[in-house]
Amino acid sequence: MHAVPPTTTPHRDASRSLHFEQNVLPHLDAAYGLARWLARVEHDAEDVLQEAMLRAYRYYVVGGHGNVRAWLLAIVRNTFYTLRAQVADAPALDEFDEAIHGNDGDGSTPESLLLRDADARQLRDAIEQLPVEFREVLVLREFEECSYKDIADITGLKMGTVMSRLARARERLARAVGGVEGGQQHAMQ
Amino acid sequence: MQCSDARLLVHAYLDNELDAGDSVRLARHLADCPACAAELKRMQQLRNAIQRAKPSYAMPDALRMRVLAAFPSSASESAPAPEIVQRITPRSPMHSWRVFPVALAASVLLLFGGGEMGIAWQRNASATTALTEEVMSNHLRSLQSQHLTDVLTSDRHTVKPWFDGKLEFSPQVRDLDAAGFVLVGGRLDVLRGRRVAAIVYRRRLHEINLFEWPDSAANATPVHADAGDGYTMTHWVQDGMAYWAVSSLNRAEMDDFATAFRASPALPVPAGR
Repeated sequence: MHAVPPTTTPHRDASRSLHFEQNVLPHLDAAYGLARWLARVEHDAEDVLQEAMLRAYRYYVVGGHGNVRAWLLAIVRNTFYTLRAQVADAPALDEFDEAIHGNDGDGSTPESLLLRDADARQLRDAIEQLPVEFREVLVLREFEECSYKDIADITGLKMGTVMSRLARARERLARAVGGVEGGQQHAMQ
Repeated sequence: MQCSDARLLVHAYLDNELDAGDSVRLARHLADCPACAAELKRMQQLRNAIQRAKPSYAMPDALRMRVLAAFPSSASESAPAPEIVQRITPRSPMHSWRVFPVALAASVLLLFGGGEMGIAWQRNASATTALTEEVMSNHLRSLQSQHLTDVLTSDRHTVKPWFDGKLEFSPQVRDLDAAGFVLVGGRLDVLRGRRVAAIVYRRRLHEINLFEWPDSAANATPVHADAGDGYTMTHWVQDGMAYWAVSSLNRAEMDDFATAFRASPALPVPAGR
């Protein structure tokens, strides 16, 4: 083992910044997407993203993170949980979840059983209303296109738990939007 | 296989995460169990619907600028960030963070040396240099990595829709055959941390990468940027889009390219989101 030289010389800092710019910043949109889905409110998402990017910059080690995108998404997720925990006296987001979630199953007229493009809004609302532990795995899989392995790395869950959370998230979603059985005749758009 | 297992594995199957052995076992079960087969179909439909509903949450430009301004850019030595990075330790709840953008706004002012907060970073001289280098390296990477195109076709009516849902804007794909530039295809790329469209054309053996993204700046006629090493680069702004073209063509031919592109009719752009 060789001693690692200190990394504080200006040259090192410049090259680290360049690495950061080239390897981390390309994932900025993905980081924003996750922050937006987790925080659900634009200005909270901005707070999460800004803090997450500062943390990422502080902790970035050139070549030290394997899958940089998953590493960054994990920071976004952790930042979200940290900041949310700090909002102690604000209404707990998940209680809010459950209040809205009470409409599982009811209000599903035959018309609403059909998943058409027009229902995209409804589906997005339903995703937003998923409790965060389901929402995060769903968003990582469906929108950030992460593998189960990446999701396990990002969330610290076991692969089996990732799969079962995903299954339950989709099940809840299917129920919330009234099922998808009737979609066939509309599949042609 | 039990139905309860199958109901779970259906998801792994749809996600392409099932190994061969389990795939076979699941397929056998589905052949015998209409209820589980229906569940697979139902979840497939749900997934399709989710993908159709996928929002393109475009990051607000102001936020992008704040985030980018917070880092010492490798291109601008005078970036003010390190002390800000040190100083921001989140102790306050989310909503009271509003001081942070103010600190950053101040740094942005320093960085851009003017009171024009809405100024696009592309117009900053050092940022332009950084952009030039990045355009160049994206071009080289696209040629080296066998990843010149994500969608390979000479038909602009195929290239353009391919970008739908992948970008928060609709790129201009124009037919330049008549001017001797053949459309090869398109690909997603990233410049300065933002997703852009790369449209690839070819003349003889020279690939041309044309990067496009929305820009609110006024129309600007083509300007050459010297890329060195035999590469030429030209950029312009037209109808709300910024264009950067790079190739190993000579300057005259790059001029022809820019002229042909600018003069050819724009495809109708769908109504903005």
